[in-house]
Amino acid sequence: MKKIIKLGIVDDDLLFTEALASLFDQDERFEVVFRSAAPASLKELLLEKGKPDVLLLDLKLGEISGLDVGNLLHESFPELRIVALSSYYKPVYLAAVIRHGFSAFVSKHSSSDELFSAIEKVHETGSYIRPEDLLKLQEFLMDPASDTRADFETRTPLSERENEVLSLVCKQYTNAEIAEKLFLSQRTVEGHRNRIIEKTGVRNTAGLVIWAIANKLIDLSEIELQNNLKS
Amino acid sequence: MEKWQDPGTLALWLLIVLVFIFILVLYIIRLVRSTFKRIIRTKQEEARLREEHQQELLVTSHKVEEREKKRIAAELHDHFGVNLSTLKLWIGRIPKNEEQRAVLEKVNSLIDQNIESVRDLSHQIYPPLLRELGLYTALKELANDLAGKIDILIIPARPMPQTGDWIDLQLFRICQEFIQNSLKYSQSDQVEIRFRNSETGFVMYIRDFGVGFDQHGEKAGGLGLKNMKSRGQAIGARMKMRSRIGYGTSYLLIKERL
Repeated sequence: MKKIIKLGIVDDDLLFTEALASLFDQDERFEVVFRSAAPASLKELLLEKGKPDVLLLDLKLGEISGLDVGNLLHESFPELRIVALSSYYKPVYLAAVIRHGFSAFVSKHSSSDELFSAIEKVHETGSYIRPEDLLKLQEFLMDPASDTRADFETRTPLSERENEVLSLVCKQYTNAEIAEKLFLSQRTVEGHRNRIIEKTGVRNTAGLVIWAIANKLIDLSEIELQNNLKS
Repeated sequence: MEKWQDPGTLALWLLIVLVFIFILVLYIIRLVRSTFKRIIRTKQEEARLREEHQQELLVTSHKVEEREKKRIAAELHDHFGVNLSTLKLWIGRIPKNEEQRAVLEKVNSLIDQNIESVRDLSHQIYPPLLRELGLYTALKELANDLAGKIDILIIPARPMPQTGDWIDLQLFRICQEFIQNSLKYSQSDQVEIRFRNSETGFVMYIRDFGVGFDQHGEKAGGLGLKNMKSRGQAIGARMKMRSRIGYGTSYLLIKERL
């Protein structure tokens, strides 16, 4: 029996939050530990109620503060896994959203099944990116005129082992799965993962995936195949 | 002969009077000239103010229009669109048997279509995230949205200059307008948008490869073209539209001093 994933929902659209919470209540994999309509007082709320496993945060990208909330939260709670939930969803925004410390970006219009699997993936591996978005994202990151690319460009040499771990991380393997595959202990894998994050200067696993794509370190066709096999 | 009748004295007096008259005339001339100058200056000043005022009016009218559009687009997107999503979530909560499932699936797919229409409409009214993405990426997204209808090739300047929100929006609108026209009239299947940093300034060049139109004919006064012109003026750019029947249409815009 898997552990129940504790969720926090932050969205000022009360009707939507209510429907969402009701959906999670019905499913035994999830438990909603708090709901809030005020992103401004989020920090206090997290200190008071404790960190959820995954935080669902509404992203109103039109406003100035939209993405900055991710930054702020990441500063105070670097371990917190945040899923940006927005009605403004396009694959090209993904890089920007993840750069601001989010673990995943999911459209408010996506099906409940997709939302569930995104949350589970983020909980297990620290990132979730739709396979079909990866190619679009690569196209965008490779385009010399898009300004998002620069921030991921500083290429640091990784060791061979680190490259191996990175490529498995990008395929959304968990630490345990990577350990098994590479005949390492789980702690060693964790060590590798942390060192990669340190070397690349990204903020979390989701950032690693984007970094790897921007630096052409992984073969996308391989990832898609892998994802199809796993699902 | 009295003393004043003395030719010497007379001559002296005459000279004094003449000098006096000369100075007077000079003074009057200067006065008239300066008055005229002042009148001309005032006129020029008035003209300049009028022009400034017109420019201000133009900019304001575009700003007001964009603010309204932004509001409507956000309303559509954030309320109408999200409400539809909420509806979908609730439908997912309804316990259902096989038959009901099939019906609700139809309902869901209809909701999905509506979500898409609302989103497309909202994005047409106001480009989302232009500020966050920058002009180039926003245009690429526009090209994506229109794929299948018309092929849009975008060639960016290296590097794309930081033009700022307001100018970006106007340039985006001009491209949108041009593409609309191409779609409606040109029968062209391709539009090309090129950006370049030249010595004179930032250059945007758009063209299609369609049927073109007569620049002195009726169509040349159309609303779309007027709109493109007025937006170009609002950002203080110079521009030139060119079209020949059979040779497509092109639009050149140069913005000096960004």
